[in-house]
Amino acid sequence: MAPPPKELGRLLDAPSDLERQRAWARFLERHSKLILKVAHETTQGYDGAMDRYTYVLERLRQDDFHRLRQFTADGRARFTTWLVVVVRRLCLDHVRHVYGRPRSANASDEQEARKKLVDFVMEEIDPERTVNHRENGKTDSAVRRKELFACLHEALRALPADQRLTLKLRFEDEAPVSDIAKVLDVPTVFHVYRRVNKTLERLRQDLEQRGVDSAAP
Amino acid sequence: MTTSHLEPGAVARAATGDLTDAERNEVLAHLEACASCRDDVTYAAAFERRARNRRVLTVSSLIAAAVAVVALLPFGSPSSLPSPDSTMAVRSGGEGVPQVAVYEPVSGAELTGDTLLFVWADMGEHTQYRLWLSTAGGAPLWDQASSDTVAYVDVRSVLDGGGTYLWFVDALLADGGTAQSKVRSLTVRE
Repeated sequence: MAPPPKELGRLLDAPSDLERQRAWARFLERHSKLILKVAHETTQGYDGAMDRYTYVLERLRQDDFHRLRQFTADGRARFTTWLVVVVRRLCLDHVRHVYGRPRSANASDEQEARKKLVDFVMEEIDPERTVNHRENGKTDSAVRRKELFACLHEALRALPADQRLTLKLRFEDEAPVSDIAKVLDVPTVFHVYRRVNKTLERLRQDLEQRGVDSAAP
Repeated sequence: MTTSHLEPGAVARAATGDLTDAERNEVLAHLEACASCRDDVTYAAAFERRARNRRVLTVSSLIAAAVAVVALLPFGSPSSLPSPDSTMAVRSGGEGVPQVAVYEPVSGAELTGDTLLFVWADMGEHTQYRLWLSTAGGAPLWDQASSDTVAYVDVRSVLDGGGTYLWFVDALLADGGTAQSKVRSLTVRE
């Protein structure tokens, strides 16, 4: 892993206030663009981004650069990636500070992700069953959908954690497969697709064993 | 590790694929359970990927400029450049144009089944792709635009039965630049 960047070392080891100010200016010359970019991506509008940027700089300076000192204590991650994480969390803190905690959309997001997963897992639908279910009316559809989701939930719980994580990254977070490959530390996106397909096949088999052979509600 | 959320260092290492063996299981287990940390990781991974692509495009642009200068100096004639009306059979991906790496199917693959899976490299956020399919002679058969790096093609509705086909991927990058894959062949067995 690369050593800490020089501008960070000079900032944290500055022998005087004057040296510290100069080192801070050099640090910002190097990393302002990154901080501004993250600030822009967590808000809309120039003014909001500048508010966030100012907030981040204040927080980074706070307590003798306490947050930046955490990097040197850790030192194993790439500095720019580490800084992106720290800045993003500070920007989200600022959002909460100004606007309060957002209302959770987790329930509807999760249902949407489950629906996508159901579509992928149960891609072969028996048309005859689909027609019969439609003829039985909407109440049966709602009950059937609830049963299907319950079975899917149980089947997901039975998966190993790394396979659940793969599906969450793919279907809940909709992360690009190249990013998923990085997180899972697999060589190529092809390995991610293989893993997804294998997990979906396992889910399919589990659901069949639970008596679910159609996605039709 | 933290009791509620991952330390930024662990998040950063997860995003760049640099987790140590000792911490991997614990970090991945936490990510599976914590949507907030997962958001942090996917955000950081995307940020790094875009930064990498910008560096690649910058290098590619410099190479393209150098190649263009070297290639055109002795000839200087626009007629030596590929015709914009080139059929797929003579399309080569263009010298100096960033290349889209393709993963599936492998070049010259022989395939069966009703659905073909195409997979190619991600060229960065907001990139638009177009997958092209043609006959072996280069006559365009089908194309599809997508923002994803995967395409499923229904054999029966798109292709003319068994035989050899050509395919490639065009990419329109977020900064207005373009990238292309090389033309590949595949054979469909009925």
